[in-house]
Amino acid sequence: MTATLTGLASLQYHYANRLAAAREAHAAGRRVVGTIGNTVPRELIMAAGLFPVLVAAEPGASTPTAEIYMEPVIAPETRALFELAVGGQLEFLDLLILSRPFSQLYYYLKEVHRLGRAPHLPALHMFDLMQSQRDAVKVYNTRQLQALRDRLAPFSEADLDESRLDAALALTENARARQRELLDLRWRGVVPGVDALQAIAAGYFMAPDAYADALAGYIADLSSAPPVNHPRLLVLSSEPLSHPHLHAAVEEAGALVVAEDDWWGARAAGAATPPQGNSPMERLLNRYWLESATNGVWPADARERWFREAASRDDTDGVVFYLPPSDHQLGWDYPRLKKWLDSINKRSVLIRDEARVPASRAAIANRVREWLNQ
Amino acid sequence: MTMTQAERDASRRRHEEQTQLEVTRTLRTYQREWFARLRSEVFEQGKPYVIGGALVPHEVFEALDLPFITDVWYSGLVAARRQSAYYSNYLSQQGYHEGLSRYGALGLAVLMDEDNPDKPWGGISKPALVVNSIGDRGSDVLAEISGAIRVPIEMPVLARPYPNWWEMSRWNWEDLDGTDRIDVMLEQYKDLVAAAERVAGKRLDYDRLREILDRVNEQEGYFDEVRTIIATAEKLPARLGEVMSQTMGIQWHRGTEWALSQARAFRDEVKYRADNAMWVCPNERYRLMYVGAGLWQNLDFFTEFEERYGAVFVRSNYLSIASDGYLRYGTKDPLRALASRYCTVSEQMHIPGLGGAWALWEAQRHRVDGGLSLGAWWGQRIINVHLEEHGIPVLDFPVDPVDANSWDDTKMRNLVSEFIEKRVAPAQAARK
Repeated sequence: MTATLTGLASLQYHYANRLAAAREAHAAGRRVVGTIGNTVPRELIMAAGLFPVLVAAEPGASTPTAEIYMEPVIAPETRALFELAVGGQLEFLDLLILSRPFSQLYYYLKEVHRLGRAPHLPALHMFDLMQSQRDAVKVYNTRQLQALRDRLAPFSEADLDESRLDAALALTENARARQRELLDLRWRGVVPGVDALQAIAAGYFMAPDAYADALAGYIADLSSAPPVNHPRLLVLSSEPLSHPHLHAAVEEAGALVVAEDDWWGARAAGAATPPQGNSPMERLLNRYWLESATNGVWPADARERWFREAASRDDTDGVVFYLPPSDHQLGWDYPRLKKWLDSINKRSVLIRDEARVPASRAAIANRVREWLNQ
Repeated sequence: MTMTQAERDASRRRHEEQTQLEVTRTLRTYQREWFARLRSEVFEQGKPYVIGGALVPHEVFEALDLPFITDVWYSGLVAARRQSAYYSNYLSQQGYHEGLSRYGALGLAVLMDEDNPDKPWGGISKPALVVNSIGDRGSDVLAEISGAIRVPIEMPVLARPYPNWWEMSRWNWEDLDGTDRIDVMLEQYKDLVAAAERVAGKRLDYDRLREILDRVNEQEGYFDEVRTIIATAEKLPARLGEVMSQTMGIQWHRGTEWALSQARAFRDEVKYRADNAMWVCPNERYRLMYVGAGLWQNLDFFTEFEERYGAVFVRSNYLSIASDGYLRYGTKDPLRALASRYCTVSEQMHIPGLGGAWALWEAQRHRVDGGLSLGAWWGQRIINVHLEEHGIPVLDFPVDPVDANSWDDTKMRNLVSEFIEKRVAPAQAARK
């Protein structure tokens, strides 16, 4: 079915049916490795001849089992992932690799598995790549990457050698280059934020070459699209935007989301300059350690560099701070960042409603609309 | 609302009347003297000092003669003055929303609220060094407004959780925590030592650090004895509020000669009371435990349930983690021993699997009839499930440990009464 879809339709299909490509690969006899979070180097999985797929929460899905075991303090995304895994939907994976921001999920899954209450879980691996940009963690991160390579070895369908790693890096870089083209189009005002978010994130669920082709098709379709004259907003979210609901509400209010400081959106493409390093492993390490957009990046200068550059652009009309009730970190930065935005005459609005909840979306749209009209 | 002077005097009198341990009085005296010294040398004369979380190696600062206060201890101090609601609101007014944890952030609020003359014990001055976990953005704010050095700590994930961790933690810590994890903590501690040396203006003496660690081990050994006495005595010999205050009061000064001597006196007094059948509640019927945090904002709250129901609290995390989490024998490389301790410390109390196994072992050891789950730590619910499934009812107590805004006296009283009558009593009867 997916073969008949092209361009945005294909990307939207895979965004909505996040495990579809992986299931197709599995049905065709390929081994599939799931990843949770954006700091797991999918190139390593590809180089091993395996099919990588990001395992992401189903937006808005109910989480009755998570309610039993998890506290309200646990982020909705983590709860949804727990539900997905315990419910057996990931059983077809040969391995599920969790990244550091999802360490809590790892612990919960390990425990329910130990208790015999999650018999359909795939094998788990914790990839603990620390995100602070300090020499103190470099050796640990290097060891983590090597441990992941060793963990993949028994599943590998090919020798995981340097040339295969280089080839995998080139493949993902090609997809990233297409994403950067789309990002440029967003700043030109020709791409709705909701569509852009889906087009970018589909890359986590598709094979890189198929994804690059579909994205290239979408970009070609956009070549004659006229720019819309809506206020251009940048989104800074306290939690990964694995759903388009916030964008939909903001754009319903008459704005255009041109970028978001989030790995589900504008930060997926990474820097245009290839990662540095003397070997493919070192380049891989530097890409995922030093370039990933996560809440764990420290110091704040490194974490906020991209945001500050994007917010400072002349064509950014304002910033939406999205701090839903699950926030326990960005709220500490909010007063400082707002003060900075005020100092450079950039408007901002704070959204605290949960965009995943349908009833809240109208309130978000109203809040943004009022703010835009001020 | 903060307390009036009359309310503070009344609270002090009530504390005094309910005090059963002599070491509680000696602790208060020491704390007053220590705080007066801190106030004079640090807050007034400007000697540089360190603020950090509970999970940082205080021993390094002790070895460098660098004054240190713990953010959660200070928050507890503010809460004890019934000023937590005021300062929590103050943070909200500054734009830090109510969903952000106030547990360790009240010191930040006191520092920011420069114009308020009614600061707890005169307030604090700006620290020179702020050490806390990397995710604690409140500490980033504190360091920024203070112009302090900020050293973040990243704890490595425990890839292979071992449920009965307390069996290995004292001697087999290299195996328990894993070499890679200890190594990365050690690397970060080297950065911490370098920063602390800059602030202290002198180099760290590792022999002195080792002596301090050995003293800490001896102190935690006394706590271990206290726990055993409480767990095995016929009835509870010391009220839990006093035990918690004593434990943490000593912990914040661990490594000092005073802390060691106070811990020994604590052990001696609890032992004496147990040996002489001096029970907190002679009519003891139900033994309860804290799961998670303690109710620091209102430590006296549960005393009335002793009279009404014969219900006593026998166990909290604070005393038990002091020995199970802190003891690290084999201090040839003292910084490595510290690195091992802090790989998982505190988290093992609530990491799913580890927290549940420990809580159940503790509950059974202390002959607990019911638990009171307090605080919103992740992993707590699975502990509660684990306890419930082993016949120990748990009440999810919906208050913040330090934020008095969340307190509703009548509601809380009814909740606990109902819990004892409808859950604890039947569960105990069923067991018997």
